[in-house]
Amino acid sequence: MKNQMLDRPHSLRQSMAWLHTWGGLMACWALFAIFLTGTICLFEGPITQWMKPERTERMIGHDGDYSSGRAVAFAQNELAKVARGAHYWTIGLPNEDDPDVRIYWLANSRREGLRLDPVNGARIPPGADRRTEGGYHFITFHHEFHSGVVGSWIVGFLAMAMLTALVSGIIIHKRIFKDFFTFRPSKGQRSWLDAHNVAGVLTLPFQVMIAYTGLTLVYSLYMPAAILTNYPSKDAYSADLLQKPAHREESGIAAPVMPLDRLLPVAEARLKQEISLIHVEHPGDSMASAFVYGPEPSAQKQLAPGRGLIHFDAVTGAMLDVRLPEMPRGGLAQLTQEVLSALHEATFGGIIIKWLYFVAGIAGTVMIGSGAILFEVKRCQRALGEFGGATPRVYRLIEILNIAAITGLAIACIGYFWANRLIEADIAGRADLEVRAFFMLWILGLVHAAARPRRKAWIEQLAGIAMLCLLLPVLNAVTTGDHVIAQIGRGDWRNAGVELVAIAFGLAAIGVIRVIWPKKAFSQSELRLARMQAAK
Amino acid sequence: MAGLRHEAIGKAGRLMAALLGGYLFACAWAVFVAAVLPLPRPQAVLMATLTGFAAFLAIIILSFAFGSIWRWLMILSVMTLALAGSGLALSEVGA
Repeated sequence: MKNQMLDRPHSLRQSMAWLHTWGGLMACWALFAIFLTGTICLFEGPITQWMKPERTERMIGHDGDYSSGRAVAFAQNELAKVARGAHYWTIGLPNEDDPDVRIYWLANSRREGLRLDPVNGARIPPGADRRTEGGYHFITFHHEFHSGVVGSWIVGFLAMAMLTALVSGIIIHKRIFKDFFTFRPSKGQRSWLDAHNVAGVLTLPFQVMIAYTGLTLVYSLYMPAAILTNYPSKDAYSADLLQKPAHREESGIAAPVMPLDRLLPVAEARLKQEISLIHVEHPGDSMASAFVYGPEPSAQKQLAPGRGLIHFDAVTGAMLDVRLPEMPRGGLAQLTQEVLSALHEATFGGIIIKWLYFVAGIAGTVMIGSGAILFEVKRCQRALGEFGGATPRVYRLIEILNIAAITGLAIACIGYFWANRLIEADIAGRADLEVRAFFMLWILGLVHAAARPRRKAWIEQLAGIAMLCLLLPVLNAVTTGDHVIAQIGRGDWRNAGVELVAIAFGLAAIGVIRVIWPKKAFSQSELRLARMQAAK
Repeated sequence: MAGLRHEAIGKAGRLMAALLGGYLFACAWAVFVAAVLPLPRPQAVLMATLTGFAAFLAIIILSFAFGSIWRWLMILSVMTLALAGSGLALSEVGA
């Protein structure tokens, strides 16, 4: 009977319990990281802004008269000077996240870029902003662990594990409705089970949705079978789906690009949207194309994002193709996919939806974290000896991984903000250094978890989180002179939001310390483990 | 101990069926559904792929719920081959 978890499953509920417990355990550490960083990157824009304080100063300084037409003219002037004969030009206009005009070009297979002042067209020196990945670090980590396609596959695998854990969790759940209203604090194992259930059950539709839409977001990577049995390549498929006009080949005949600012009123009248980006293919050739884009989906309110796009002849200004925002190409199927993507990325409904997602994301994070701790606490109350003589060592390993994955990762996340302020602003390769600081702190969390007794490790790491979170506004005030009161005073809720949320997390960490401070729960379980080790 | 090893092999078989078998089944499912959906071809391909992940999930759950692992492996292989074969044949006809 000792090895009951490995026995032949006698019922559906038993086999699902096995799947939920062990599948959940194997996936929970990485899933916790995906959920926490996914929740954080809802506010990628404000975080990036906070991490580039020099840019905030420029935003505050802007009061000249800005017109998008003049900004485009400045950009084209500059591109004609520095990027003659480039493969493409891109002009990004200022938006909520970025106060500057950005120009990019591809010359000799190298992508280059510059920033311009939108009011007077002057170049902004490259060192004006400190180099940082900003909030984008959390996005890259969330969907590929900073490791490219391999990382994407691992994340996809974990999303499937999440769905499996959710479905098996529902099957083994006896009282799904009663648990809506059940929370029994300070009852040891029961409290962890209740926390796991309340967080999971209340937000169940969200958790299923977020895992499934995470997969459909990159469906052509994860499941290309139907595409490749019907088309020679993924490009051929997407050209067919989106009814893209055939690619215009270069003619080799020189012809100047027309003044692009003249395209703006034409495009805006047709799309009934503000223009955010202009992309010119083969500038200087008589077959040059200009692609004029409407606002990014995140700036819109409706669920189906529909980014408008007009394809112009960049020499004559003739309209070659129009994609209206309310009529996405690819019919019902593409619309479905776009809605699923918008549901995952919360690119609809503005700030209120972002905050709702934030709360639901925290609930998902709590569900995963409390599930991991539940496994640990349950085994401490009553060891099941699943691993024979190695059981105590395996339990200890799970303990260490729990601490490192939960509080260790949280320290790495908030430490990343500290690294942004502490690493010198003009040092070479500082963006990489910040990301490296994030991973170093995480490894440090693992080492610390392994070196300290369980209760002390949890409490010390939580204290570290609390300290780093609560002192973040102080750090900012000391290093840049900007502080929460000044931010609120000038209506800068993006920067203030970052610091207020950090304070809230710091207070939450103190709250958790107060819950687990009583020695009772820990000492009992540690005694049992010690006894098991002695008996071996 | 022999029973334990037997069980471990059973669990490993289920895991293989769930992950590898489930993924192959989902691909076959997508190819088949893309061939039979009454939509323009690129849209049928997209819709079918979007449902493929649900098919994958169903196979993972079934792989652990099904009584006999060997019978399940047989059923899963037959279903996968049937879907892939008919899907490929039908999309040839359609093209």
